[in-house]
Amino acid sequence: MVIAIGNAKGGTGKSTLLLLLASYLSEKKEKIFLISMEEKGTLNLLFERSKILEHELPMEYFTCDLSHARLLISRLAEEKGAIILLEFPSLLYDENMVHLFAAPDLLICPFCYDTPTLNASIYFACFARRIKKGIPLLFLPNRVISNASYEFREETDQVLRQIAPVSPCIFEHIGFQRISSMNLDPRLLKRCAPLLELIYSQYLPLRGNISIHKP
Amino acid sequence: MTNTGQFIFFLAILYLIYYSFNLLFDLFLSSRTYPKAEETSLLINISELEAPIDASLQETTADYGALQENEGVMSSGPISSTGGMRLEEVMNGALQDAAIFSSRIPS
Repeated sequence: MVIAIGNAKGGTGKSTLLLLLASYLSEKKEKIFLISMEEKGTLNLLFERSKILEHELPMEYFTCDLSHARLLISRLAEEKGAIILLEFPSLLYDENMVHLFAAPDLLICPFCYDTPTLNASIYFACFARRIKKGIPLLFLPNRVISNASYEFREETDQVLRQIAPVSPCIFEHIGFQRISSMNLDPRLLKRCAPLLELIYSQYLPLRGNISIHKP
Repeated sequence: MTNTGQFIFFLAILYLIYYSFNLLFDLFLSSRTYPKAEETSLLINISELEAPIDASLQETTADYGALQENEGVMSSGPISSTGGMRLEEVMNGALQDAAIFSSRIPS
């Protein structure tokens, strides 16, 4: 199974969310492969730190460029029962991205409620749907400040639901800013566990009830 | 001079003769028999390789026309496109879709 996380705009919390998901799924005794396609991305930086600190990671981590991603995914998919987590690059203008959009069984698009990120997220989703019409998509509101009021949030969610389902949000927390390696603070994982459980049980194909909206 | 010394001396003479012969052969004989590399270098014109290939399948469409007359098969004209889209077209389409959805969000 392949789960991908992407957005046309950087800084939406893709890497953090992938790490959370990888750590959570590894607790479920799943074999996890984590692939980043950005050599100088956040995940690579965190991995380098973990390597220096000799952390025992609950997943196997790979970095590869876009041209080799398809081959790597097909090779790793041969492993029985493995879950492959992909971090899509923000730059979509690459023909290799077309093949990449065919891979995921679930594509998660984390977003924030600011206008530039919203526009980029909608564009990303539309681009994905243009390439693969029935791609299972999930919008995930990320970095939501708990005591702030977001104007037109309900209206925004309604528009997004016309494209794909919107999951409950992840609230901003100081713990996310303190992440310095791939070894996550268990308290952070515990804090996000309800949402990760929801994704695991409700949105992952072949795991539970598939309720992904296909317009 | 010892036996070893004599042996090395004769061996050196033998090598000298051998390599002199090779050198003279290359200088005077081989240059006549083989033309220079410049004259025979293989030239490949890239523009010829990149020239567009006619994909209209004229022969096939001619046969198809005959088939249409004989067996009553409907035709949509000669094939001139694969039906594929360029990445730019996909991106432009996605931009248009995104603009429609974004315009529904009040600001």
